[in-house]
Amino acid sequence: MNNTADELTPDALVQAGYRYALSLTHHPHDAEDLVQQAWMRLQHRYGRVDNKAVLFKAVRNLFTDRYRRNAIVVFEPIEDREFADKPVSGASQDLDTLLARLRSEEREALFLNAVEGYTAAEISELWGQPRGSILSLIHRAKKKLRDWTAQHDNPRSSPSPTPDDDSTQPHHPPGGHPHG
Amino acid sequence: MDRLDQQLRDYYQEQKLPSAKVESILESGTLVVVPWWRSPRHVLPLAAVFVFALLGLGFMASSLTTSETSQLAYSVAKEVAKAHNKALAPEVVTQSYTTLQAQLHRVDFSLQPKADALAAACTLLGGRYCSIQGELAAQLRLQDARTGTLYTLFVTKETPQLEKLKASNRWVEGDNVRFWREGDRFFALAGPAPPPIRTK
Repeated sequence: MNNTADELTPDALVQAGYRYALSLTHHPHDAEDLVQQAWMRLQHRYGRVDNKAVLFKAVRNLFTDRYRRNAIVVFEPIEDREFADKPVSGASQDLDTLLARLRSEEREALFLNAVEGYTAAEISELWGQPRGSILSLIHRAKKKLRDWTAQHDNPRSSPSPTPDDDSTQPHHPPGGHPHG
Repeated sequence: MDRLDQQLRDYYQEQKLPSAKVESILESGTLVVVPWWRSPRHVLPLAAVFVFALLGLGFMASSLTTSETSQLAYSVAKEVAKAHNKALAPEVVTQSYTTLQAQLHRVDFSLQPKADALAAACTLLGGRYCSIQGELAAQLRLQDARTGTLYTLFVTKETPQLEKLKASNRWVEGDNVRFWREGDRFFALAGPAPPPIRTK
């Protein structure tokens, strides 16, 4: 787990919290608001903020309370066919647009796994969900991104949704996950 | 390393808050509005006020208790002094405590004080029934054989109320009244001058 926050400066902590919040909301303003509220909450409670894991947890709790409970963000799975019909342009914008199509859980899992270096076991502990579900979630999210990227690179190829595209169906990767 | 992982890492590493906003967040953390009840600046004075209030209440309760006891002592002393000043004639005239005890058969406690010095200094002249604070008591007439001074001795059984009275000596109605107790008996001696305090 790459959360040796003791080495991070306050600025770096805020930036890390912001990126994590961004993985949840995929909206810069909401992410900024989330990390600010989380920071204030921790500062209020402990008088200081020096632990990235604690900051992430506060951000996640706030996000859960604010967005999921109030249904501000809709977490319905995006149908692949719907996305396949939408054009994308620019490499950087591509990934941004593709990530926007993912569910917040998928983005969050990808962020924690690929960017922060959390293992599936660590994410499962953080979320309180089985490790297998986390592995499946990460695998599905990556597959979606790859498939969408392939469709974008070759727009004439027919979008052929696979069982993996249906997030309601569980998927167990045969080889596990490199981080898990 | 997974190429997609690297892309994700690159993507998120590019996402940064402007330094001004980071500063703003850091500053907002230091400007957290602490609820007044969690602020030491307010809690400490409140705690101090609370402690002083408790102490004040305790002092008031103590004062009330002391005041009540003092009132009771004054009331008993005044009652005794008045009875002494009335100088009612003894119903039983005798110099013998044994005779007096036999005549005042309604009292079931010993009438004779065990303060030997007092008994030696004063001669029993007689006695009668009386009451102190509504309790049956005996009123004895004593005389100091050396000076001829007359005293009135009151003897009664200890009651929960009289238990509150400490052994003391006070002036009431121009007379000196002295309280003391021996076992389960309460004594009050009234006279013009404080009798010598002598115990066995």
